[in-house]
Amino acid sequence: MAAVRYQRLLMALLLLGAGQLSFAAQPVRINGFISQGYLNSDKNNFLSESRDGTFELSEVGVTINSAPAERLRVGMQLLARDFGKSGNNELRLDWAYGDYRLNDEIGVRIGKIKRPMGLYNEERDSDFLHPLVFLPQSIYDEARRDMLIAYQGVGIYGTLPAPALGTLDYHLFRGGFNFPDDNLMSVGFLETGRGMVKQNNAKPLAQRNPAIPASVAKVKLTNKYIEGGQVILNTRIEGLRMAYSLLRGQQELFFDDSPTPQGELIIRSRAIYSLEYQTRRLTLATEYCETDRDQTMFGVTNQTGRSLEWYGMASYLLYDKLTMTLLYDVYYNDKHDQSGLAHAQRTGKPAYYSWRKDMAAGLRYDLNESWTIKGEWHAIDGAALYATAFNPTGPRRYWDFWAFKASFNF
Amino acid sequence: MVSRRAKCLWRMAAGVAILLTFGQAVWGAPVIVVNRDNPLSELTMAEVRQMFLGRTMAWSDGVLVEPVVQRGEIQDVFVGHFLGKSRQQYTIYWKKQLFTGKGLPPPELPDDRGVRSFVSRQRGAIGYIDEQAVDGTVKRIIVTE
Repeated sequence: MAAVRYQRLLMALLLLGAGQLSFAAQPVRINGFISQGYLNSDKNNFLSESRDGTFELSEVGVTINSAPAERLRVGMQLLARDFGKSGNNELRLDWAYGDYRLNDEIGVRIGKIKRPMGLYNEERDSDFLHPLVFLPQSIYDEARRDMLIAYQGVGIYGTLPAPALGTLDYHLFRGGFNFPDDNLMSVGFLETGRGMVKQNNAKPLAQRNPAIPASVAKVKLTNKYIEGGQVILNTRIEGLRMAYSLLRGQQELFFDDSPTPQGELIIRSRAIYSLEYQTRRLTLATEYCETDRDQTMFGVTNQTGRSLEWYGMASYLLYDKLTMTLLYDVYYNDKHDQSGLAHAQRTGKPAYYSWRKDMAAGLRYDLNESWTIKGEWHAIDGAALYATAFNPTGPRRYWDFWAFKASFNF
Repeated sequence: MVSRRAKCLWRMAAGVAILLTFGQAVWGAPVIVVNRDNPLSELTMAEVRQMFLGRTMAWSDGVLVEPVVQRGEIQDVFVGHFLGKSRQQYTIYWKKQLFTGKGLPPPELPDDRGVRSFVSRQRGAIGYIDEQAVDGTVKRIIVTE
């Protein structure tokens, strides 16, 4: 019932906001967006039951901003999204914070804040802000969205002069966050836990690990802390910027309502190096990331070391309103085992479970400043990044998917 | 012998050709204007860019910068020349700021008169208008590279 009331409130705010257009100096500004997509994949499901085609690819958001005093801004965004089993149109607080800017060099934000990570993390939920339906999944994967999207805490930020180089934007933060119950990472952890249970149960009683239960039915993730920062160098070369982002944090796993954690995921460092060059028609972007992490369950380390992630993307404005984008995107579960052979030996699973390579092409058409439609095709080699969780009979190595999406924003 | 009428037509055609070629430069090129009480008379291109992208908070005397933009073709010319962006890139830039809570886009006014009125009333304002529209109510700023 509460969800229905909030959805009605959201629609009322959307209608109210649609009547308030961009005139100068309004005390409270309401904006919003609605996106609806369609996803169809071949051979493998992609984070949802996509082999049969799915319309479970949508967002509705309303944003409220105000500048109640000099140097002070407050704002919030409510978001209802649906992506397979995640979101299910439940209205949630996407971000909400107060922002006091003392001067160009320093400001403070307190609240729930979109996390500065790479070039595009902060805007990932607003479909109309990026050229493709899906951002490069190696770094912006939907499965780990709930772990990467925002922090609740304190951030300091500002712009510093770097006379010889340009200007330097920075944002440092510390805080935590809550995993929603329907986060997609839980699906992966539960699948891993069940695999460990099955292997353990297959052993003679005397050889079984007593820490592994006889069965697991559900898992809950919690976050202990998250901290990190980002610096962006806006160079003196017009259109060229570079960024470095760093993240550290710790998550705990609780199976079947256990009062104590039975696993943890420690991110020792997630470092992203970013480069973007933009002219009026062309945008070139590339990012490289290594995530150094440890994952343990029931006292057993089932993942350790560094993953390797990178992509190259080019977008070109073909005509006034039509943009074409090409993407090559790569994820390796283990930087030092890019062939996947060590993973195959250890797990008995095919080597291609440890990588994901994506070649994509897409078109974006801006009917006007409010309406956008997109279509894209992805050809994938590999089954890393939670493909096994959504393909219980075993994902295929080569697969592809189409996605279309229309967005309206005001 | 060319008739007087033909000569007149040729002169008119030449005039139209000149206007079409140079009219933008003569009548359409936007210039940067600030409040008359603003002590500055010169800004660099980079400084103008920082202000209209919301990245500079205040003037050197501490007064908050209040950029204002104008709708229409003049905005395309301004965004391309001073900010180095296409209209789409500029629009997406401010939508990113708005939908992540990082900033509010500058107010958008319909014409030169609206911008002049805003700039003349707000001590920290900065805007752009057609060069021919500059009058004594605002101060024109020289922009250097």
